Amino acid sequence: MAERDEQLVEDALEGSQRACTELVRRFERPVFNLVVRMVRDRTLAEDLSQDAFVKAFSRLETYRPEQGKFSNWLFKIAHNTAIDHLRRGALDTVPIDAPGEDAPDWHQVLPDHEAVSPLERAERGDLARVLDAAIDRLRPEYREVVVLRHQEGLAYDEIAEVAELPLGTVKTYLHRARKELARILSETDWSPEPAP
Amino acid sequence: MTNDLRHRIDAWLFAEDAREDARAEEAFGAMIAALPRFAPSADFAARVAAAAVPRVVRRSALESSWGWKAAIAAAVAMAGVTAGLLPLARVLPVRVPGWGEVVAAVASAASWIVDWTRSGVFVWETLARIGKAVAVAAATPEVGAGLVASVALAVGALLTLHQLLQSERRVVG
Repeated sequence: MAERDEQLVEDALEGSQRACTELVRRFERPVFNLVVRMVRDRTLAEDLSQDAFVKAFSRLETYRPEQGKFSNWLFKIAHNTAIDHLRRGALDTVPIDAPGEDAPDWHQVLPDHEAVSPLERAERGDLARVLDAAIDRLRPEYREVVVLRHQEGLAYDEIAEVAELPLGTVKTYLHRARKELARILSETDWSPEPAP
Repeated sequence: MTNDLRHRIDAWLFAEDAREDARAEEAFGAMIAALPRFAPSADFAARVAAAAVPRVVRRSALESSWGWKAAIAAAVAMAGVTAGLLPLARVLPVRVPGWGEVVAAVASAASWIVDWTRSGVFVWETLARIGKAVAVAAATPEVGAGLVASVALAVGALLTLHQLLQSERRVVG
C-alpha cells in the first residue's frame, strides 16, 4: 500500500532521502502538466516546475496537514511560480495563431491547426493534439482551473485555494472555459459524428 | 483510446448543442480527464531531486535553531522590559520594600484615596501632576538616556519576535 503523502513529508523532514525522492517521483507529472498548460512552453515548464519543487522543499517544514492535502499545497506553489513568470514575461500575450520569432515552441510541438482540418487530423489519430491545441487558445486562468478540476480532481474550494480565486470565480471560469472551447472547435469546423 | 476520446468529445458537443448544461459539464469533465497528461523529460525527476532534496531542512536542525532563537528573543524581551521599568523607578519613589513597608504603603495608599475623594481632586488634574513629574524627571540626562535605551531594547525585542513569526508563518509560493 502506497505511503500517504503526509507520511512521506514527515519522513523527509526526518532526513529520509528516499521519502524526498518519492515525493518528486509522485508529483513530477501533475506539477509539470499544470505548469505546461499554463505557460505553453515545454522547456520553460520544466524549469518552472523545478523551481516550484525547490521552493516547496526548502519550506517543507511549513506544510501543515490540517490545512489541506500536500498535493494542493504543492500545486499552489507551482501556480504562484507560473503566474509570477507570466506576469513578468507576458509570454501568454503571443497569440498562438500568429507565430513569430518569439513564438513559444508549442508551435513546433503541435501541427499548425490552420493547415489541416480537424477531421483529417482526427483520422490520423491526432484527436488529443487537436483538443490540446484548442485548449491552448483559452486564457491561462481558464486552462489552469480546467486541469485542476478535471485532470487532478480538485474540488471547487480546493481550486479556489490553489489559484487564489473566489469560489464563484472558479465556477465561472470553468463554465466559460467549456463554452469557449466549444466555440473554438465549432470555428474550426469540428462537428460531432452523426449517430449510427 | 482514439475512439473513446472521439466519443467523449461528441457526447460533450451534443449536450452543448442541446443546451443541457449539467450533462455538458459532466461530459466535458470526462473528456478532459481522458486527455493524456503531459510528461516531463525522462531525466526531470533526477534533476529535480538533485536540486530540491538538499534544500529540505531537517526537523532536528530546525528545532535546535528554534530553541536558540526563542532563548535569545526571550532574553532580549526581558532586557527590554527591565530597562523600560528603570526610568519609572527614577520617576516614582519606588524601592524594594520589606513586608512591613508593603503593609504600611497599602495603608497609606488607602488613606490617600480616601483623602483624594474627600478633597474632590479631579482625575485629570491628578494625571497632569503625574505627567509634570515625569517630564521633569525625563529632562535629566540619566533618565533621558535610560528612556532611549529602554525604547531601543524594546524595539530590538519586537524585531526579533517579528523575525521569528515571519519564518514561522512563511508565505507559500
